[in-house]
Amino acid sequence: MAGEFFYKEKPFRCGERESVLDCLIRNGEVVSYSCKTGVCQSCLMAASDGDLPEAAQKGLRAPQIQRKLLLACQCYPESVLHLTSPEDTGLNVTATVVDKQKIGNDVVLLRLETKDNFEAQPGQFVTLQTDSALARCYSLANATSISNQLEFQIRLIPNGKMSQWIADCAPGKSTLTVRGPAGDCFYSDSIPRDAPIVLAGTGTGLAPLWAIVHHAIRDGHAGSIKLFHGAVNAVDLYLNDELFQLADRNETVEYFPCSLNETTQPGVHVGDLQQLLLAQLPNELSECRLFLCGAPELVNSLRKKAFLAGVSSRNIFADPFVPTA
Amino acid sequence: MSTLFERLGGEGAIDAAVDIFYRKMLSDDRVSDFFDTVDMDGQIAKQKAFLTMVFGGPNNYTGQNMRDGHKHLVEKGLNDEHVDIVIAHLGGTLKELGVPDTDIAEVAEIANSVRDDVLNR
Repeated sequence: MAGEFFYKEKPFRCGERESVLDCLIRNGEVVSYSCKTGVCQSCLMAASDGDLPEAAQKGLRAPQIQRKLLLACQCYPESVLHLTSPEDTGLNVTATVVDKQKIGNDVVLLRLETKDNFEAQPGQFVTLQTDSALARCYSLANATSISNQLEFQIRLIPNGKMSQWIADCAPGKSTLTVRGPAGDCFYSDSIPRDAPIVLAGTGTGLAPLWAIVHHAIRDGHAGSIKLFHGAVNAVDLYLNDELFQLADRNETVEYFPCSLNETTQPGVHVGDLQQLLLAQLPNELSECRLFLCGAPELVNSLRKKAFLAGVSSRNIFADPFVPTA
Repeated sequence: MSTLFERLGGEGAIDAAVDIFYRKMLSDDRVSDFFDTVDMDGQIAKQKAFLTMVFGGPNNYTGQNMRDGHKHLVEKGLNDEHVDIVIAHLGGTLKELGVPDTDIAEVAEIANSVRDDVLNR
């Protein structure tokens, strides 16, 4: 029925030429909004099913469209929609630790298993929560598409509470609650297969990038893929050998490990990751997709510099890892 | 007789203009400090709202919105000179997109019409 929708499982019906947003406001629902013209995106909502009117997704970024997000102020339902706020989407499931391996100096690969398949794109992030309500966000680092196995690359921080939990957890026994997914850092369907892709991260900012690069290769991405991984010391460039091998096996893939301090390790650039990356930006700047993950200072600074260099704002996908307060 | 918004190319023109415009502002040391680059996506959305308004497009901006939205910037020293610079960059952006001078003047006029609200006076 035209004009009918559910918001947080409550039924609503739009009046004639009334948007979802106006209908919710008229019914006294507390929703955030500002311009009501589809520009400010304050009224972003998520649909769980139903056909979304094209106009309701106008101006959204490709990953948001794939996640079925929409603008309530531009939405005039043509079929029954089930809507909620973007924060309330996704799953909340229990997962069991099935594997824990050291893959770097202070980085472990943690693998969790959920009972049913977990709907998410490799590179998005989820919240992991312990029984004692300790919660942290981590990116899904799966090199394959996601089923019921979730992989994480986690840096163990001295005296970190979650780090301690992970150090102590027992594969086959320990469980965590997984909430999510969230985030726009993933290889979306809408990326042209010949677009150049540049990815850069520091530390475990590599986790989502590792997932995205593998996803792109799996989907037969034909454009060039340049992956930059930065660390203070070369010894912290975990998965270095694996990434050199990946670049060897795939002629479209180039890998640029970068260490701030001097190193004798072969193939590792010494110096500033930002300068290295900006010098390597492809000529087709307007088509380039840029993924940035890791330390917020680096992510925000690179985002600005790459944008000023000519990368289109809508093609920059950034995921600053904000540390726990 | 087509409206200014239609002549400029409607929403497509805003998408084309926003990156050029925002890049000019961030590259200009005289005004770049007024732009937060941490929430770049949020900033882009605000620039789009602004461009929609000055292009004569559909918007719900009120004088009060303009006052509230810029109050913290006025406290940081935002003044007439900065507004002039913004309007100049707006003109430069439209020129790059091949918009005729008469339409650029009309856009500048709309931008000027909110000057007092923006500067909270």
